[in-house]
Amino acid sequence: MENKDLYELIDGYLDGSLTEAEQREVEQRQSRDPGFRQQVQLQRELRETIGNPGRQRLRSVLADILADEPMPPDEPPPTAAINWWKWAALLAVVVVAGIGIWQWQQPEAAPIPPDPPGKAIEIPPAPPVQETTPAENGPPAEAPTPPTENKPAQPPKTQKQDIPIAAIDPAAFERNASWDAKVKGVVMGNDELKLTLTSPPLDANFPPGKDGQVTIRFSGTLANFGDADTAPLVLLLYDNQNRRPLFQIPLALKKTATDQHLFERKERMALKPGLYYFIVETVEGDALAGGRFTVRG
Amino acid sequence: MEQTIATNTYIKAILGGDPAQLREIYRSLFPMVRQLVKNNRGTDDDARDIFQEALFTIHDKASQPGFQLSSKFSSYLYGVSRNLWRNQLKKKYRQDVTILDEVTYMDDAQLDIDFEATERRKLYERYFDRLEEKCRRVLTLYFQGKSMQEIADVEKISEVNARQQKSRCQKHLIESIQKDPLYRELRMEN
Repeated sequence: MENKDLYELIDGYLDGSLTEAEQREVEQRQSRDPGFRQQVQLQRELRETIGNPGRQRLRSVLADILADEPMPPDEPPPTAAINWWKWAALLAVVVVAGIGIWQWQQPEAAPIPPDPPGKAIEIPPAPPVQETTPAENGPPAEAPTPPTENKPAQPPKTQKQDIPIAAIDPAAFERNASWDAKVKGVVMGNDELKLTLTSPPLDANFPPGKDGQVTIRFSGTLANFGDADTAPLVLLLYDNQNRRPLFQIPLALKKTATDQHLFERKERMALKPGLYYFIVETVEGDALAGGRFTVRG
Repeated sequence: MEQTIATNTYIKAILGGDPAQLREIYRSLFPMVRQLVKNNRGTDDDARDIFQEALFTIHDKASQPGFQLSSKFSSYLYGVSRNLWRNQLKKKYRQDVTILDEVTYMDDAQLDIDFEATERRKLYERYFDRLEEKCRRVLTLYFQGKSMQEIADVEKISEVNARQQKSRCQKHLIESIQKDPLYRELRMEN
């Protein structure tokens, strides 16, 4: 039977305009032909959805409201005691562990130096993502990071006059010991999975564009992952002062022809000048690796 | 008592598409849904999608005969939103996920949401929105149960022409939906 005839037969069935024999035939065919049954189901649901004036009016009104209502400001952090104490306890453990490991790693007492790029997270000179799987990384023009992304944090140069000094909060650039500890590899890790971040380099600086936004490419490779094609990882982005993430970005893992697993994601974000940390973790909450970068003109 | 009045007002606003009341629902309760989604790996856009889907789900539930809501409207909205978002996360990560909550919500067992039907409806509407305007008008009238003569009168065309347009638009809509891999995933096996 031609499709057109099929649609009309089913419309007739749903309208109740078929003869009794035709009606019976449609019912019998539904019981023996799953494809036909699904066709009836689809046409019935289309009527119930598109033909429902209340639902369509709600859809239209909501579209108008969402188009002209601004996004409300974020709510303040919760005061729920359980969550607060859970985070406080976790932070205390991380701080103590971080300080311990920091002191253990220092040969002698010295002023806190900036971390050398590549020390805390493994950043090979050329990203292995591009070396091992050129075909999967898009055209060559996409591959290199903008020159500014690869530089360590630099003192503001002449462009700093573009940003009013009063608008830059020095506290936004202060290092946070507990996050520094995580970035140095003190991640509450998963013993089996080993994540190597390839971008952004540690302490990279991202000058905001004219629209105040920065574009950052996050990428890395995962070892010991196994044969699955995709895996759920999440990147959590923090500023230097708050325990709650600013963003949570799901990362899809891709398996390459060389049996590596990698992720690559470019994010365009509106970030105020300041120091930021990010942690990549599994959906179960096992932190695998972390990084740190600044945003300033 | 006030709670019941507010609940009834909000349900009526959803069923009747009352713009002023729906705006009030958005302003007073969207921040709660947004917090839920953003605390659980979602974005502002995800939050808006879930808020809309939750209101459609409540609309469809409240349209059923015998519908009764025994809890606060906000608890119900939160419970529906929570379930919809959790279901999306489950699909995305291919495993169950734990949702972090900061408010009390309606028991999942009372919600009884058919996630696949919800997603199918969303899919139908997405493809319907892509049709040319004339097709949308003709099919809306047809799906609302109008006769071909009534459609012809509204569109100021002949009945034969109305029938041809309805067939062409319906065929295009159905074939587009059937080609979508998500539909193949969601289609119901009775």
